[in-house]
Amino acid sequence: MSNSVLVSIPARLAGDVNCENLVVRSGNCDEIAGAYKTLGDRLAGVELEGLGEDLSSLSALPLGLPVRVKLHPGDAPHLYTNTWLGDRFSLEVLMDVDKGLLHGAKIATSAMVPVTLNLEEVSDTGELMLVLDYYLHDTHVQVPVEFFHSMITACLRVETVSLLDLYPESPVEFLHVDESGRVSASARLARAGRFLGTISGGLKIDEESQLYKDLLHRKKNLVLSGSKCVSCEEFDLCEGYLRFVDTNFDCDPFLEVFGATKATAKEIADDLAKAEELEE
Amino acid sequence: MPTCIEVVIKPTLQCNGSCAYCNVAEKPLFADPALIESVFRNLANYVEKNPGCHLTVLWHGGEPMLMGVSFYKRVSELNRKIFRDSPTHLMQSNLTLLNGGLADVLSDLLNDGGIGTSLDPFEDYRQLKNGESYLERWYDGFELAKSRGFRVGMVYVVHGRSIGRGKDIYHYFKNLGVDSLTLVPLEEPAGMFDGARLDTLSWGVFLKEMYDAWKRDDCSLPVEPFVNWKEARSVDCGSTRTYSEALNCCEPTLAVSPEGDVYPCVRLLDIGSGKIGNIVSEPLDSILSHPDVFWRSKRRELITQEDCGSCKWWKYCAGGCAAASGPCHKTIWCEGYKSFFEAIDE
Repeated sequence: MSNSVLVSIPARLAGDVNCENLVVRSGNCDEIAGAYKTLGDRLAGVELEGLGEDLSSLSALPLGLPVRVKLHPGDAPHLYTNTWLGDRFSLEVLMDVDKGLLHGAKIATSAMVPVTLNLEEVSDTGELMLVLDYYLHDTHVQVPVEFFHSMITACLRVETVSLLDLYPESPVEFLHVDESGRVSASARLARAGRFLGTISGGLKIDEESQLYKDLLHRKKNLVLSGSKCVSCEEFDLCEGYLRFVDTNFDCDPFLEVFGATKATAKEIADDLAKAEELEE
Repeated sequence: MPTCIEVVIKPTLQCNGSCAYCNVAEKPLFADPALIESVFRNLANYVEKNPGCHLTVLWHGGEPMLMGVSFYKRVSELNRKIFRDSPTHLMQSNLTLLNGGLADVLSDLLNDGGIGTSLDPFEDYRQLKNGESYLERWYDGFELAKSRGFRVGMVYVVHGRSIGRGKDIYHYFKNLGVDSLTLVPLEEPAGMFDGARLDTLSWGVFLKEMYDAWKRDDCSLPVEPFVNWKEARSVDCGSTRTYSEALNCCEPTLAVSPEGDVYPCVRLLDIGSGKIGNIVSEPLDSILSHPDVFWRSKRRELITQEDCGSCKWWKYCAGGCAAASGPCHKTIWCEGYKSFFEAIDE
């Protein structure tokens, strides 16, 4: 396993592995501060699970450290009372896709905190298009809302950025350690009971495991299994990410977003071309 | 003197696959490198005397990769030794036999970087004789070809069960990452095929389905015949491309069998009909003087004296495939083409 792999691990288990790049997760700020004492420069980032606690112990962390706050949209108002986090750290919110998403996204972006939609926690997709519309057309939005932002800017450059690029599940780039010390490639795969190894006796992954092979040969597996994803109009933006864990996942709301993203990018590109013509 | 000659060399008519609609009469023949040397010398002599003529060599079969690494290594050496300016070399293969060794040798020989291949995404019409999965072996070969920088063009045979799936088929091939897609209607005789046949109006329906998906996708994957038709249309708009260039027409085509027998068309070689010479024993000049060499042009002249002459879609259709329709008849897909052109003209 390469030293460059980013490993996301519960803060209380951080001392059990000797990896170089660790993101520690916890809802308890004292645990996170404790992990920093143990890890030092090996701490690449923090995933804070909620904003309900006293956060003052986070001030012990280095300035500019990437801090991602995992937040349900309904808890977004806590950002109002913790604006200092944005002054001190490279802060972003990982927001669950659930009821209240639009309101939550508005609060975060008003506080100038970038938002990434948490596609590992999708409960209600009813507001996805509203959030896209808000991101695209509200003049007050000055921070990225992902995955929209990267996809649309790539489309404008006539490039493609897919969900797999934005939510990587490649064991050569990223590993997720769950609360029991089992290693997977993401939180959703861990929840689905799919693992690559454990951290007992040091972090080890089994390159012969079915999950490892499945992750490295995603497209081939889709082709050989006759998956409908291969003939999907929006495959370039998804690459089978949405149905990787649950083949019955309802993609339709996301397909609508992808279609609108492409249409908007085309509209902007056409407008830019017209503007160039006028200048000439 | 022709400005281009397409030489289709079939070093074998054997194949490791068994496709439901294949017409090739398999024979246990494999071309010897000595035969290829004779073919190359004959071609080189002709080009030496006619320096404006460009050669394109398409390696075809059967399955040309059955010939193996040492054969193509020798072919590559002969190509360097015999031609002052190498012809453009391409290959049509099912890719199921491609391995690292072959990829190395073909990287050298296929100087245009192009390999054509075939797949049916939704029907089990393509199989391997050894019982392995065609799809899996094809996918491995395709990935290897792409990783080695080859451009892979897909030839899709449209049959009765393709109808209603045009959009799916378009996106399937685009998502796979092929570099182009060519649509070929399933024509008679279609081997021992007992699946759903294609009728002329269904061909028109399929073209429309595919065309709609292609347009909606901003024509991002080159699809034939649409790209050719688009270029043919641009002649109306003052393009400098000529009509025959827009149709991508290279006449003459010389299809060479493993014994060196020459036919004016690949399909005629496949069914063993209409031999016009032997490239080992006769100079190319002599073969090119055979009255059937330019049979496609003659056919076009003939059929434009009838219905086709007043057809508003002639410049896009040009009579269609001569081998499928016969030397004196318009295309068997006439009604399908007309319905398609009329639908998109609206």
